[in-house]
Parts: sequence; C-alpha cells; structure tokens
Amino acid sequence: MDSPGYIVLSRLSAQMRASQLTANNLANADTPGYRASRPIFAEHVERQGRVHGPLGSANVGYTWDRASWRETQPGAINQTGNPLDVAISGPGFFVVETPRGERYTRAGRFALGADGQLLDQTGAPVLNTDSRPIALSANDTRIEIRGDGTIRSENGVLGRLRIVRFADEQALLAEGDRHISAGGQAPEEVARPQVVQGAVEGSNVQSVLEMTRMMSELREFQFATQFLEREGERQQSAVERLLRRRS
Amino acid sequence: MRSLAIAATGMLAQQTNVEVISNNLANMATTGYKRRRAEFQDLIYQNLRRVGSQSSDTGSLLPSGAQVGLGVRTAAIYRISEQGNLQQTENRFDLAIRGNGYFQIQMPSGEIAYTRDGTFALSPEGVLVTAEGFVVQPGITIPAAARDVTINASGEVMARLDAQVAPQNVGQIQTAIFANEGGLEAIGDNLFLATPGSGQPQAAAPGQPGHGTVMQGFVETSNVNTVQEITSLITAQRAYEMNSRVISASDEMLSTLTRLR
Repeated sequence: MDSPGYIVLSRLSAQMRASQLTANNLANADTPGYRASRPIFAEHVERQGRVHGPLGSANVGYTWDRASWRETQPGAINQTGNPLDVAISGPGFFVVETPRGERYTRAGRFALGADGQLLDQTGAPVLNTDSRPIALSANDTRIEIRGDGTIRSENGVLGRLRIVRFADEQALLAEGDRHISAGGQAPEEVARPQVVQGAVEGSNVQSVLEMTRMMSELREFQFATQFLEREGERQQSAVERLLRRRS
Repeated sequence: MRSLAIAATGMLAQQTNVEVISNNLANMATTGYKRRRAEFQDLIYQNLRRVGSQSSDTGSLLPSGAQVGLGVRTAAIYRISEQGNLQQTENRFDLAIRGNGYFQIQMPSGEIAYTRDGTFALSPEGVLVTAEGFVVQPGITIPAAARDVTINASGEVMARLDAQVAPQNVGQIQTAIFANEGGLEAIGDNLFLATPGSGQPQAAAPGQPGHGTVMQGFVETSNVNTVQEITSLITAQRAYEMNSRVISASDEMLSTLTRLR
C-alpha cells in the first residue's frame, strides 16, 4: 500500500547525492586537471505485491542510484609561464610515484625538489618512460619540454615524461590530491603524446552549467517532497474517511 | 547534508584565493616582489560503491563505482619567479639581476638571507648595504677616495680613485641560486631564507652557468600583472558567489524536508 512513499524516498536520496556531486564540481571549479562527475540513475523495477492483472501493470519503478560517471572532455589550458608546468592536450595521464604505488594525474603543475627531482604538488616524483623519477641538475637552467614529452636543457636530453591511457576511463578511481588510481586496469603507453610546456590544464567544470543543474536539482527535490506531502494528505484523508464510515 | 560542507570548502578556497590576489595587488610596487598564486586540489572521495564490485543478482561487474568527492582544499600558494620589469633609477648602487639568482644579505642575527631587491647604498664606513642597512655578502668596501664606481654584468666592482687613471677592482658581488626557488621561505622585507625544500645555495659570480647577470643603475620591479590580477579577482569572487548559492540551495532542500508533514 505504501509504495508511493518508498518510490519518492528512493528519488529523494538519489537527488540528494546528485546535489552533492554538483557541489563538489563547483567547489573544484579551479582545481587543475579536475574532472566533473555526474550521477547515473537507473530504474529498478520491482513487482508489486497483491496486484493481479496484466503483467506490465504490476510493476513499480524505483530510482536506483547506480554509479558516478566522470566527464572526460579536456579542461581549458591556461598559460602560466612556469617552464615546469605541463599540460596534456590529447588523451592520457602523467604517472607519479606515491607511497601507495603508481598514481595518475592530469594536473601537470610540477616543481623541483631540493635534490632536483621533478615532483608533483604532493611531492610525488614524476616518472619517465623507464618508470624512474626525472632529475635535473643545478646546471640545467633552460628547460625545454617538447610536444612529445621529451625534457631537454642546455646539457642535452634529460628524459621523457611517461604518459599513459586506460581502456576504460570510467573505471578509474579519484583519490583526491589530484591523484587517480587505475582501479585494477593496466596502463597503456601513449605512443605520441601531445604536451604543452608553460601551461596547466584547468578543470572541465563549466560553472554556469553546474549552477543551473544545482537549481534544477533543487526544484526536482522540492517537487518530490511536494509529491510526498500530497501522498501523505491522501492517505490521511483515506484513513479519516474510513473511520467516519465505520462510526 | 554533505553538499553544505562541500560548498563551504569551496568558499574557503576562494577566500584564500582572494587573499592571495589582494596581497599581490598590495605589493604591485614592491621592488623585487614575486607574485603568488593559490592552487587547489580535490579532497578525498567516499566510495558509495566501489568500481569492479559485483552487482548483486546478475553477478556482472559494475562498469563504474559511485563516488562522492568531499570538496576542495588549498594545495599550495606558489611564488611565480618570472623576471620582473627593470626600472632605471640612475642610482649607481642600485642593482638588478637579469635571470636567475639572489643577492646574499647578512642579517643582524648572523643568518644569510636572499633577496632580489637590489636597492643598495653605502654605510658610513663605505660598506655596500641594503636599504635596511644589512651588509651585502661578500662585504664590499668602497674607498672614500673613489670618484666613480662601476659594477659590470659579472658583478665586479670597479672604483676609479683620485690620482689614478685605471679603475681598481675593489670587490666581487656574488649571487646564489637554488635547486628549487619555490622552496625559499619569505620573511618579509623582500628577504628569503633557505629551507630544506629549497636546497643548498650555490653562490658564484653573476654570469656563471645558471646565474643571471647584474645591471647597475636598475632595480627589478614586481612581476605583478595588474590586468591579470583584477581578472582573477573577479573570477574568484564569482566562484565564491556560486559556492554560496550551493549553500542556499542545499539549505532550501533541507527546509523543504523539515516542512514535510
């Protein structure tokens, strides 16, 4: 008897998570390499109890909050003038070595460590095509990063940035700190990467879109609660009517 | 209501951004100031459903998990060590560094500090000192009889003394470079201190490999680009407003829930 209530409840909790994702997208609108995430809702069909009749009419559909989906279109590339900032203009991720193992990132805002190693923002060494950290010496002052990821200075070639891609980008797991873990997939090397020196890729969040999404999520949430309220009134009046009939 | 907390982290981050921008604008005319930039990174994620877990009845693997990120935090406030503009001052002890390197300054505490601000002058004893009176390392004394002082690109200080035709070398200015300039700690007064993050200073004469050259009669102005700063200020303000709208939207969602009868 109470399926409308539960159906709306499933909708409300799904809507709640949708608004959390939108809030996180907006909060990270300035995070380099951030990818906007969206919820995937699906219909979960259940058979109603004690309903006889044609097969289709006996089903009710709940909202099923199924997964998050990451938008993969690239973010805007902003010039920064810092020679160690690198943006990937094509597909792929930089590889960094963290205490938890290899992690992947699109945020190519690198800096030099005290011992000359190329590090990312969290201090994790950036790896070259041999999966080893890239080290620069104090004599390397004019650093040039070519389109294919080769790092050169006036003293010659210092290495090449390793850039990898994954068969299923949706299965990657964001870990925070701009790091992404492979989620069990094996990385594939990108043979011909396209990198841009002196620039950083921003997030791919479009704030205006995100803002309108937030408003429509709010309205849908209010719509669903209104439905719940009306349903409550309907049930109450049904109960009142039944009681009146009996007395 | 996670979205309230998430939007709050967004507002905090943008506030930091505005603070950094206003400090840049305030130091627009500070000699040797290097502009700073706030940088953000995403906070941890909650996995509501992990990638690769089995969906119950069919046993098929889920193609993607359900994750909720918990907002944003300030990752770092960078110093952008791009060269500032050179301004001619006609003061013979004003020095600017073209390229890499810092002047070394002896602090009263005995520590060595580093600066790009080359507004130097002579102390009553004829020693080359900064505007605050701290001695430029290695100490250079200009003889009282010096009529004309030239400092060349590689930092050699040449003084022409009375009754002498050829100028005499009275000292050598040295600059220090660091493996990671970003790791220097700013202590105000245009001064920096070396830290474990910056690496050991490597001092040498200007013009040596890796070191910039010195220009006499110039100072380096800040590298703040006003147009860029104002644009980022507007962007930061809008981003702040959007995050505050998320807060009010989440609040409305909560209030519709509490109004339910």
